[in-house]
Amino acid sequence: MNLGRIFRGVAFRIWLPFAVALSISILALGVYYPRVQENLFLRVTEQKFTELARATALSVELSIDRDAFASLAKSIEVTTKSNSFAFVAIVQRMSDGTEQIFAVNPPETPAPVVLRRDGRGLLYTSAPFNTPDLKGSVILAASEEKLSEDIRTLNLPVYRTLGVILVLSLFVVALLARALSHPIKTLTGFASQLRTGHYSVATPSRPYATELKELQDTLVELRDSLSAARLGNDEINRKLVVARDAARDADRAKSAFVANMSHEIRTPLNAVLGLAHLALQTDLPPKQRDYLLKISRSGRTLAGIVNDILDFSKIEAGALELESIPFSLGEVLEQVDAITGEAAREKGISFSITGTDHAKTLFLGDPLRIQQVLVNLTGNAVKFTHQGGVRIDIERRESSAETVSLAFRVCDTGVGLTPAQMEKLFRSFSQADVSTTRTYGGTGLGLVISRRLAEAMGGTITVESVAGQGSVFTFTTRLRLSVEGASVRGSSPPAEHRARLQGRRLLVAEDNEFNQEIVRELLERSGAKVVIAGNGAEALQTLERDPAFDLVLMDVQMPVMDGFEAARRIRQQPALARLTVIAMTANVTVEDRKRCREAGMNDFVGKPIVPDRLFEVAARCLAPAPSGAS
Amino acid sequence: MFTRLLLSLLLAPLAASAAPAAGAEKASGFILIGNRTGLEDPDLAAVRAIFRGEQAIWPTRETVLVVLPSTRADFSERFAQEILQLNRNGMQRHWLALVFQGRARSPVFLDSAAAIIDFVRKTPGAIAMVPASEPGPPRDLVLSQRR
Repeated sequence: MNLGRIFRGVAFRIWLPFAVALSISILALGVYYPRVQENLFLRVTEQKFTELARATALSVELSIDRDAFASLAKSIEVTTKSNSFAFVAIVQRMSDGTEQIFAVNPPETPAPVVLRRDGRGLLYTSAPFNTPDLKGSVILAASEEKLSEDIRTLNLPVYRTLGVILVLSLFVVALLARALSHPIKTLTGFASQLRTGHYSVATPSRPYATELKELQDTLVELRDSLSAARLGNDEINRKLVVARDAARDADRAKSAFVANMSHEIRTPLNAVLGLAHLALQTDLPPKQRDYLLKISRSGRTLAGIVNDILDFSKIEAGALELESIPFSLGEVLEQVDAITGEAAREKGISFSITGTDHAKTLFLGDPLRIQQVLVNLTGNAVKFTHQGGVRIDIERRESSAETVSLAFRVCDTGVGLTPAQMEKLFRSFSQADVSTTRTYGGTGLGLVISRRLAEAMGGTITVESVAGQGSVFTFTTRLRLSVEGASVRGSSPPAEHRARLQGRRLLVAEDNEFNQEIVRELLERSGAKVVIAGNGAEALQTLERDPAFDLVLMDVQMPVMDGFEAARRIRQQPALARLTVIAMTANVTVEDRKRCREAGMNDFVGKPIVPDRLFEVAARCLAPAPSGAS
Repeated sequence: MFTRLLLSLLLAPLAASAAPAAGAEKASGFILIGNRTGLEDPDLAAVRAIFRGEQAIWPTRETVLVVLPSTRADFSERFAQEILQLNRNGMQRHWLALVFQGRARSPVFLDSAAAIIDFVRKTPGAIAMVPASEPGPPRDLVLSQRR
């Protein structure tokens, strides 16, 4: 029971003043009335004793004068049986004026008590008698202790009555208080039901008090209004749900469209890039070589744009998932140097990396995403710098036993940014100004994606810039320190990867003829023996006929039987259970990777095929070739 | 007080010498009468004690009711002096004190020997003394008689 709630309640607040007032009144009555009763009782007792004394004195006279002892005996009997009786005495007045006790009842009463007439606790009355032979007075004393006892006995019913009155009064007041508070509680409960949205709650019984009636009427009107409003809201909500579902469907359709378009764009792009790569390996006249180089460069740009759109779609859908694998920061920096450092050098500007103390440290994180951010920032820096150079400064901001916060400051001496340009720098599809797009190209998604990636990795990207002097983009990220010295991707040079393919038998399942040609050419140039299957079913048949393959490169989207189903069936055959299967797909979402793993595939290569990446993954999945393998 | 003491001293040897030899009537001119008292020829001391209110119950279980001559009875003074060794006022005051203190049942005062005899005859437990010179009471009431 919550006493505080009771004490603060209306019923108690109503009851308490009445209870206090009643208690004080009855207490005062309990003090005053017995005192009045006592005084009255004492007066009556004194009068009664006086009369008894007079009667006794008269009996004494009659006894002496007329020998009427019977009346004396009767008088004494009556007197001694009186309540509060203490003693009765005949005091004889002697001829010399002194007094002497003639007789006293009870006889053992001490003489001083009789004669002094001021005994404490005694109430004296007296009556004179006068006969020729005996003169004096009858003294009758009452005991105050007995009187008090009689008074207490007399007052006891009064106290009992007052107590009963008090209890009954408090009870009645409590009932009244409850009668007032109960409707309030009922209305409170009613309002609570409304607050929690239960508008179908029944109307409480009507209270007697006018104010409460008005309150109830108001609440009932409120309920009806809310109920009507809810009906309207329900209709709106229903429409909103329909609209939301339609929007979700549209979003799913958009995602599917983006994924499909990605695949559809990547597949021919893969062919373009692959064939350009192959063609560039042949002897060509300078003009054709220049054309092919431009085709290859444009293809890579297009691939970058497609990747940006895909990344942005994933980020917007909240579907971005980061890997947490051991990696070496040095290798990431090498890749950055290889990609944008080369571009800077080609452009005639410097490119350097400082603060590489952590290059050999193994971290846990997503190296590809870190690389993506750094390539984007440095790529922008190279793009907007025409003289001077680009520099990456790496510094450790915070560190603990388990994590390290790193800051990569990408500094350039480029065109710089005005405050207005910086303000809209990280907005989607927004560049510094329209002329930037015309001059430098790009989708305007790179920085947005980079910042989202940085935030997903526990950091952010900030910018400081002075127009005409250059910019500093600071990318911070929090990385966990790896306790494993385990395998770190890409630890071997590309030549070593290719060497590991020497003499291996590889089955390539790919429906696109251009891609078949590219992959075959790439792998055979590395010394591998390649067999092509047009779809998953053909691949499965080939393996059933001849299971002696070292590795299968499996496209995911194929007619007749897709790569997922083919991989599952391969895993169902004991003879092929340990065969390495690597997925090749333009669908690079985390969900796709998950599906590949669930289907039993060992690794993943994105499309368009990057030759070095393909060699790296294939080499990692293949055990070193036994000596003498052909 | 002194008188009472002197009378006691004078009567005591008399009572002592008379008691064994003769009844109470020999020491006085009174006849002792009673109704269902159970007494048989009591001596003077016993009679005196009875009339001084010192006995409350008879051997017959009847309550002692002392009947005394009132101030209008001509033998009351003589009775007080001879039997109680008090004067009449002293007898009254003695009984006043006894009755007042609740030590004795109040005695009945009657004005003549005839009234006394009649009362005793009618009242069980009553005891009285009447002058021997008065006409004789019924024999069944007499407890001791002058010879």
